[in-house]
Amino acid sequence: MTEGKGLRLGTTLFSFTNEFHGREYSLDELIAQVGALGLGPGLEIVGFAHLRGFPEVSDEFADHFRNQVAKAGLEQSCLGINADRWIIPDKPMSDDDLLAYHEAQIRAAAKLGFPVARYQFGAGPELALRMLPLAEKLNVKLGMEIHAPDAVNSPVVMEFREMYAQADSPYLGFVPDFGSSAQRVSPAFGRYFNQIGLAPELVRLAESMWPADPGDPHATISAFEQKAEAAGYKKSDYAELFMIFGLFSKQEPEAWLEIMPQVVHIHGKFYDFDESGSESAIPYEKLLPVFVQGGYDGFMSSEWEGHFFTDDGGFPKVQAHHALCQRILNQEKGAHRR
Amino acid sequence: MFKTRVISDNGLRRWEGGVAIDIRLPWYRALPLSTVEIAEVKIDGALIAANETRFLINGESLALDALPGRDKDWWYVLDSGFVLVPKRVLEIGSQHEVSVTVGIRPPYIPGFYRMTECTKRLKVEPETQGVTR
Repeated sequence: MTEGKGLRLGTTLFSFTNEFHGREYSLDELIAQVGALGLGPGLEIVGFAHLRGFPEVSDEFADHFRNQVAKAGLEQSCLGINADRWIIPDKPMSDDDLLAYHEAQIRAAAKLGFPVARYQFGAGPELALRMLPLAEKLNVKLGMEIHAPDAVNSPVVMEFREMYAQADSPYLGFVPDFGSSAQRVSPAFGRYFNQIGLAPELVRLAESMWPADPGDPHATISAFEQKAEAAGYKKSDYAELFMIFGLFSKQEPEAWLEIMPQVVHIHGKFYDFDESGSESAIPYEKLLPVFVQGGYDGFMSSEWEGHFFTDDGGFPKVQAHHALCQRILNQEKGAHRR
Repeated sequence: MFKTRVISDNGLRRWEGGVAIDIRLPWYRALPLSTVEIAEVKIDGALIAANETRFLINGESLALDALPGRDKDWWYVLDSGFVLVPKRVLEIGSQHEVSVTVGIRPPYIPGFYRMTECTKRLKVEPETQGVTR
């Protein structure tokens, strides 16, 4: 067993959705650039985004990928896998089929050298328990992402926590997404809504109803929809505002302590910085000390989701995020020494 | 952002007597075709009927209403699809306002439907062999 290294930084290639989707950088080029800019050491990718034909991964490609990561001085941190139960939207996949669907992705994670697979609530706790034997055999930890509108105590998350308590395996864990610890909706979205010409009153209406009820987020979204429609707004306009309920929720930083021993990876979600270099909506100055003091041992990927509101590239943003997080971690170390 | 990316720059070209519009998936990851909808196509403000339009993806030309049945076929995130409008004759080099709306139902978020509308003013490019990727 290796000694714990505490909270280590890294990057998910999701942050470069603009560059990748725009065919400006290939997968190999993104990996090389993350290494060259010192945005590791952790490297996370999204299976269905970055790998054509996923979850099929050839031996040849797996070798190539491992070499590229090593050459860039990086380390595989987490593979994003998906609970695509609704491929036929009105005929959800059976549990048996969805189990096979997940197992293929867990095998891909092992083959590519990822110690953690981020999975999603749509799998459900019973299915997650059925994935456990393969995860243990292949030495891949399963981390259910806790993403807005959820929080550590949302009903859907509690179902997983109850199953985890029964199963008691280090291979079953969580991946906090810091969008679910926002203090407000990022001002970057306000600027975007303004830029695409949405009425300021409509945007204010949505923001006045934020955050969604974590017990029933769909109810909040429906209530907003009804009010927007009653006020005479077009669906194509108000539907764009639904995303604020799915990207941001409110939760005290200390709430994560409840599940801290089960945290296997972190999505350091961010959007925008204020003049002092702090994230404009997500309180990293409070969040990171909670994880350091809580004994978290693993990676945090810088995860910029700016492709929702800008065509800007992600590299300068991730550099700024690393600078912010490094500053906070250094202060935390200093405080600890004193 | 996806709003500017659905229609590719220089994405309007002649194709077998009509035109092809080069479009991209407005999402960060590959999606099964059964979760994708070509919701609306307009040229110079005029709606093109769904039955006068086809969708060319992975080298195969499909009727728009065939997409829901294609749960084994994927639209990879780096690939172009092409909205084919066979009967629309446009002169090479002429300028047109093209508008395409793509709806998606990401298969890991039950009940979520997202529409992305993109409008661009484009010049008709000559027909090329490239209408496959």
